[in-house]
Amino acid sequence: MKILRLHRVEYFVNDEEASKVTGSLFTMDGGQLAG
Amino acid sequence: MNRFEGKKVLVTGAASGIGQATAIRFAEEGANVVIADVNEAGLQTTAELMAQAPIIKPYNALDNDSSQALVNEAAEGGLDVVCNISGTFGWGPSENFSLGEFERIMQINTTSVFAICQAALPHLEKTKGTIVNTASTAALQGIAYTIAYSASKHAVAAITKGLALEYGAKGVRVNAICPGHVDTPMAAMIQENIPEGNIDFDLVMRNAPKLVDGTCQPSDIASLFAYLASQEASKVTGSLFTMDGGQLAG
Repeated sequence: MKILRLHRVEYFVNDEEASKVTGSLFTMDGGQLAG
Repeated sequence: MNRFEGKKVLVTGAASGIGQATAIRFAEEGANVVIADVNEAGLQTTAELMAQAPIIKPYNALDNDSSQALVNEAAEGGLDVVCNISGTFGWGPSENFSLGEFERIMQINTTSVFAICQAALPHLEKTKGTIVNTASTAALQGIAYTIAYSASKHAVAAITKGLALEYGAKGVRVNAICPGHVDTPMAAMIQENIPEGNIDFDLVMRNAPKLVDGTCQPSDIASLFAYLASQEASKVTGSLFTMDGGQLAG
């Protein structure tokens, strides 16, 4: 399951569509840090 | 990609800029898109740019009844995604900043966003849908001379995280995007209308993008809306995703 999640992150951040993203921390945690 | 075939997507602020680009993007990916804005002429322009004819719904974010009526009309037949993109801006030295203008910014950027979320959530519970709000890098740090806007966007971040907690168990995801500088009509208006008073421009410019071409295009932000609304982001909720060319990296 963890590997699957990593793949999902990679899908976006390695894509050309993320060309303006740098220095950002993206959270994929099912809401763990929402509060 | 065709990730939104058969999905109903409401996009506010769709008359120009990020909202327009987002409406175009969802239509390209097969969604049935409802576009909303106070600018009816702008909505017509957006509609002409979309791959599929949208449902056009003018509304006024200054009026909470209008905001909630928009959602209920858009949700006829179901609602899967809400993209809250309508927004406004105002800036100037705080000592002279009008309280009326402060309240106007809070109403459009914050209260209307919550009104739309509140009206949409019962519909989204049925579809296990999702909300993507528009915060800002101004939601993550203080910005001089931009107190009202920054306060309104900090509030959007709080709304996003709080609703993610309340509705996670009901299968509804709620996230927000924090754009940095984006090449939009609103950004052009800001640059062309420098307020009167003492302004330290070093403070204003202290967080310039770090990438050589770090200014985002509306389509860049639209791609993030599409990602967060998609199944690929099914484990993302209560998150703030920054797309700012490195403005906040340090």
